[in-house]
Amino acid sequence: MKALSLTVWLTLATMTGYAMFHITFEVERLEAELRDVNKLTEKEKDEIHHLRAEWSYLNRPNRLAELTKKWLPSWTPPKTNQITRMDQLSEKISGSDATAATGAAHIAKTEHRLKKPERQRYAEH
Amino acid sequence: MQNINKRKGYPFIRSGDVNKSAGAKSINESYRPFHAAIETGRTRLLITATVVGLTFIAVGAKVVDLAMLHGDQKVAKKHATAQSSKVTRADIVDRNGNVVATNLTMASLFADPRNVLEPNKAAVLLAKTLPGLDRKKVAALLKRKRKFVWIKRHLTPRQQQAVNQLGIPGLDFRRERKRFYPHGALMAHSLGYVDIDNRGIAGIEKHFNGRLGSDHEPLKLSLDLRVQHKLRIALAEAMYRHRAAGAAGIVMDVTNGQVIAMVSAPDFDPNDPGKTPAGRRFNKASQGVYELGSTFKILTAAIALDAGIVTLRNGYDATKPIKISGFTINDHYGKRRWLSVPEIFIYSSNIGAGHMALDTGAKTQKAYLRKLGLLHRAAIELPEVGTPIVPANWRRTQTVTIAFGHGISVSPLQLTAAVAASINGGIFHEPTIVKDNGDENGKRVFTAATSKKMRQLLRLSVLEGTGKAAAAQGYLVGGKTGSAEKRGAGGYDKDLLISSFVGVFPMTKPRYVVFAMLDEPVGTEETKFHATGGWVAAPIVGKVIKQIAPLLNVVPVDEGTPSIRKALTIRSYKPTPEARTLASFRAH
Repeated sequence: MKALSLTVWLTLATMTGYAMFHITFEVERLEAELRDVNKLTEKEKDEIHHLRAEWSYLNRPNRLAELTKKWLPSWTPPKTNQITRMDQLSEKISGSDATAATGAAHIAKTEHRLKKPERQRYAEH
Repeated sequence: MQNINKRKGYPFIRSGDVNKSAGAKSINESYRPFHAAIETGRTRLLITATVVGLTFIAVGAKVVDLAMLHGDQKVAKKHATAQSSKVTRADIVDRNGNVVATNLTMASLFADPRNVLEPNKAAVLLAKTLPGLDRKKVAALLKRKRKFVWIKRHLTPRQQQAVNQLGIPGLDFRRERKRFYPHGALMAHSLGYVDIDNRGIAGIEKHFNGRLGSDHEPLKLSLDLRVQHKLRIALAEAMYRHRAAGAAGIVMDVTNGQVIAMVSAPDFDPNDPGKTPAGRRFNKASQGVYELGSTFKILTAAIALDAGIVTLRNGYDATKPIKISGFTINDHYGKRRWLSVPEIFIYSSNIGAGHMALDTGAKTQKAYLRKLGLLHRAAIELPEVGTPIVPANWRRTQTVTIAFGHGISVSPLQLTAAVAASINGGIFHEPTIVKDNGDENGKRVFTAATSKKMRQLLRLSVLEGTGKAAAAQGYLVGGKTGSAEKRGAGGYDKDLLISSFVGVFPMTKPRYVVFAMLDEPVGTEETKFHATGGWVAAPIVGKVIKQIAPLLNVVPVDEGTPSIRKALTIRSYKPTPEARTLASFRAH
């Protein structure tokens, strides 16, 4: 009886001891992993932050205006009569077939005038 | 267990004791206290065991709870809070979410002078590598008896690499966050700037310093980057063309007082504010107060109409100048005849406006101007706000001069907000530069009927009056010119003008006010050498409206549509013999 009890207690103690150390090490490992992940997250966040700042910097209206001038020389600001509501669109198109035709011809001409890489750029828009 | 028994039962268990007492007393008697003691011991033991057992169960339950049930959230929460406690200043974004102020991580160079072996040599090398460093100063720093001295803050990655390659012992870097304004000077005056330790010391940065330092959510402004750009470019061009000393411009939403764009020129780069002279950092739109001239006639007319002093059918005799306390009030391009109220407005007659104000009276005029926010500082979220200069003695003379915008100095921002109230249905909104701070309700100043008449008057001024150059076909622009002489050494100087124009669109249901002002413009051949508001400022407003209306979702209309014409026309405002009822006669 005594021997059995002792064995049970010893086994339990060993198991508890093992479990305790195991959990301790596991926690330490996980904490280290978490630290690494956090560090990585911070780094990524920082990078995203920098990219956002750079995106904003590259989208300066001044710069966009210059780029437009350089790469889309034939583009002009829209005229008042070129702006309309969606629901009035069909009316406007049927009302001015002639204007639409000239417009299309103008676009075709512009595309033709551009050099090849520029034409590709133009088509992307 | 046995231990306790042994110790507690010691006097009774000892064999000698038992044997000695056995002869005199029965065993039973001598056994009784021994038995009772064992019982007490067992009870105590049981209680202790129960308490210990319960504690273990509680601890066990908590462990199971943490490990298997709710642990994740609690641990995660702890880590999350630990992380976000890092201090970074919040970004500032425009109304569409574009970043206009953010932080960049940069390396800052410091030294531990105790570890620097050859301070003089190190100083020479550093001064060669980093521009703007003085060799002697660096050497002095490196010889100090300290553990830490800053050498240079905020290095570029390339500079950092160069310093590393010098291989000087005792130098090290610390990563620091530096405020960065990607759009440079575009919103300089509104955003303000920070000092080297990222503390806001001007503009929004200063006003919201606490909020930006503690809350990590970006601060959303009411400004629109694109509109700001268009306004800035238009003002800069006009400033250059007319060799003006400065310019200011504002675009404001009339329905809630939100500032969509605010420009003050010349400007500066908030990334390096120290490089530009302080004068450029002065915000002419909110901080500068000016006598703004005839744009004030909008308010004079609105007050007189609202207080029931005149109707659009009345008028005044503008043949003779007003003579008051030694001053003579005259018209610049006088018609020298009887003028109806709409004519006074569109020809910008000082005499007519003066008479109108005299009939209104100083008291009423003052009360209205107070309600329009012109007698106190604007409530906008900026530290740079000018205090208006208001006459101490508000007598008849002041009443007359204020009628055409002299003798009272207000900021362009204040005037813009007041004009918005006169055409938006009569409600005054305090100007704001933050998206969510819009004062939607506002305070009523004018009746809706007065406001409708004002819309007609402003439209008429662009169609037939001094503001023709502001017309932007399709956007139904209305507005009023203003040209005020600046006060020189000996009174007003005829050649130094503050020329402005305040425009509103679309006039059928106003959404935006656009204000433009040039400081000391010079006429060109194109403007027939005129430098007044109608010639130099009105074209800026027209041009800006044409460009920003599509961005602000204002759809152009056919200005000839009968319903539009009907809503905005004032019928028979030109004098006919029977219409010549002088308001001044009627009043007395």
